[in-house]
Amino acid sequence: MRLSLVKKLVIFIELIVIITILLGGVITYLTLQDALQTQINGQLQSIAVLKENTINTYLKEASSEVEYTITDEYRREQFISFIEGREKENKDVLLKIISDIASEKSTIFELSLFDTQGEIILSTNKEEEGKIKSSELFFSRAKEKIVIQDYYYDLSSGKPAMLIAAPIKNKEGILLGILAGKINVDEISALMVERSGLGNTGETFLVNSFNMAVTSLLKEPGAVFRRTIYLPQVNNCLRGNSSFGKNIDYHGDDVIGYWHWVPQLKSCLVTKIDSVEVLAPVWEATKFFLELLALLGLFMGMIGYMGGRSVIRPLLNLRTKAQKIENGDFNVGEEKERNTHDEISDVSLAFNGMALRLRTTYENLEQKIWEVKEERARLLSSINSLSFGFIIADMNHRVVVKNKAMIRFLGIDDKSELSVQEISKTLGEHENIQVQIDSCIKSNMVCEINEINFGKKIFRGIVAPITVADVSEKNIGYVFLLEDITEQKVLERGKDEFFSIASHELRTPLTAIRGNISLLQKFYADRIENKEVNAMIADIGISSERLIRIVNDFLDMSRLEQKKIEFKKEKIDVSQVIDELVGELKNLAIEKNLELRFDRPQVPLPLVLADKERMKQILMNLVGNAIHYTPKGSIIITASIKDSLLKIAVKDTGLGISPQNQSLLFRKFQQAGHDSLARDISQSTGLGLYISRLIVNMMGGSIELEESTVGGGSTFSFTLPVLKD
Amino acid sequence: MEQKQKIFMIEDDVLMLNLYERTFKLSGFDIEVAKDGMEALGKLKDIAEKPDVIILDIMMPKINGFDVLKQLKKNSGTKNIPVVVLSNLAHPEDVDRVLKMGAAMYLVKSQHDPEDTVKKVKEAIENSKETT
Repeated sequence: MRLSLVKKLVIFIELIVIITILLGGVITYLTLQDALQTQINGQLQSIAVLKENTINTYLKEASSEVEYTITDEYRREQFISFIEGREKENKDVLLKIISDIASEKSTIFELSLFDTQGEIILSTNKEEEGKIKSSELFFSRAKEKIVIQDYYYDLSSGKPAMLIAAPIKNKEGILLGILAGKINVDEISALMVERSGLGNTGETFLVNSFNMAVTSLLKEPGAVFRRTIYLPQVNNCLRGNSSFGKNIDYHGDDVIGYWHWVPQLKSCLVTKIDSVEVLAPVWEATKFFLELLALLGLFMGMIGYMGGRSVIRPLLNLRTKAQKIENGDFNVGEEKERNTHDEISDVSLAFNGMALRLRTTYENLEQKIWEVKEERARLLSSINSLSFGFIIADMNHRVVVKNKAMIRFLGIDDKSELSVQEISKTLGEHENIQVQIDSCIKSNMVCEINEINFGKKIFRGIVAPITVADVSEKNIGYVFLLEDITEQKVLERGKDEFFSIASHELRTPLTAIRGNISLLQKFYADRIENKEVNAMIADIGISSERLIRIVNDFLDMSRLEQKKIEFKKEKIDVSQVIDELVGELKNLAIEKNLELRFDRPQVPLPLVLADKERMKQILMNLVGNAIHYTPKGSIIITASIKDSLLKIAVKDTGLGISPQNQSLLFRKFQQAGHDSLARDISQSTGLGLYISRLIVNMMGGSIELEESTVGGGSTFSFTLPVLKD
Repeated sequence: MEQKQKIFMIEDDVLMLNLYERTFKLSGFDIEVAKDGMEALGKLKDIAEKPDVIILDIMMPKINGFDVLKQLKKNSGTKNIPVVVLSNLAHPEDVDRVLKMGAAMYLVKSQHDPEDTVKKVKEAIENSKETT
């Protein structure tokens, strides 16, 4: 539940106020109550004691009268003589005496004389005479001394009374009779009913030893001598223990009282007043507190609210600013603000600074983004202007960038989301393009996918993974290029066709020429007597041979250039091949009076993996050249190992090659002949070294002129990789 | 006199045909020729004397050499005659294929002049005679 700060503050203040006042109230209440109670107790006790004294005084009066009566000589004599003689004269005198005592106004209203048997022999109440009351409690006790018995209900008079009895003894101290009288307790009763100092609800009453209420009860008017009260306080009091207390009274009300044991009456004098009345001032105080509470609460609430608002206002201001920023509006802190010189102003100022920073950063960012967008646009436009299809894909094979050329090539939709798999499929499922792309990415290398046939077009694909050059060297995607090589291929195929046709078509007639000439020379020589005819036939033969060589060289060269040649991979013993070659060219060397030999190495040479025929071809070329350009001397072939290459060298003592010509050596159609010598074009097409280089390079080796000086001979060498075990 | 060895040659180019015919004859062979596969198969079916070797070119009109070879090796009459393929095709796959199909030898025309070819053919006949 969301509560504003001010409300929280107000609630907080109110709570404090309420709690404080409640606490104060409770404490006051308890203290007041206590004080009041003590005060009341005091009052109750004094009332009780006062009344007790009054009662005692009253009873003392009665007892004095009786005491006087039994101690006065005259009266005693009269009593004794009557008790003993029962003379009538005595009786009348005695009657007068006791009537005087028990007059209406006196405390004793009925007096009776008992003999020792307990029979009333004389009484102011004629009806009583003759009754025997020996069994009554007072009788036995009165034999010794004056006795006052507590309240009882006197049936004959119809009102409460107390009994007083005294022994009558003669000179010798022998008991002769008992004088008993009924004490008029009206005054006592009236005293008890008297309620001054007891407020509206307070009262006093007497409870006798039989728990009977013997005086009027305020709350139950007709209860006198009808109601017993067995409350604990009362019972305790009747056992002789006076006490204070706050209890429930006979009427069920909560009262504060004092239960006072009155020994003379053998009764409990109860003084009590309703708690409510006693504590009325407390309630007043409580009411006061509540009113105070309400007033204060209101007041504090207002203060809290106003104070809170003034404190909160800057915070609200801050909140507004924060919300503005949240909504993207960074223009805050530019209005005039009141400085409250507290922590909130500090925050507010800092906030303004922060907003300014944010604004600046945002603007800078926007600028940067714009620059990046420009750059990207430039890049994209360059990509689009490429003639080959260009795609950048992420590692999930989703196309991120595609250019116009790619769209055109594949005939796909510009807008659609594309995956590389879709492109592969479009290019042709049977082409296994996706498989090749996947393996390419795995190997993390740039690779080529050759000859993708797509309808009438032929493409070449290139896949290049894009790596992020940080710690992980992770691939983030790859570039897929599609190059249209249709024309190139058509051209190639055209060339191939041309060459195959050319080779076939040229060779056949050439073979026919040479073959027939050969047959002629071999089997029909005897039929041709004319030397000229023979010579002509010979020339035709030589020409055709040369033509064949030229055609072969051309075809060989073009096939090598196009890399259409397949080399056999054989394990070759180089020494053996050189020997073979020397054997084949021996005669030619002898004809020219040249020495041709192979200087075998001491250590047997390792095998080489190469095409034997082709190797021979190179050797043939070099040695052939050597023989051709060496008028006299020798041609020596050597073989050696250098690094992991096997080097074969052909050294001649021939014409040598000038430095200018050396640079022309391995080119097409060049003859490194001596300038002064007429070019001997009988053998060479000028392609020999060029072809040799093509061949040796494709076999993994190299060929070079090691050294040559004009007139000092030349040394050519070529290398081949040694076969690793 | 020793029986002359008989060559049966299938070659479509007339220049080549003439040259080889002459060469073999001058080298002491009997030679019968056919200009294409159909003619060859027809002739071979009814031939009285079986040739010792059949020389066959691959690149020919009507039926190409592979099919002819297949037929030759199928026909009971011709399947035991060694076949030397003489062709300008030089691809190892072709060579393999031809040899797998039962040809006794493959010679690349550009690598063997007619006289050399004669030598090789002699070899082939000798080899086949050894195995039978």
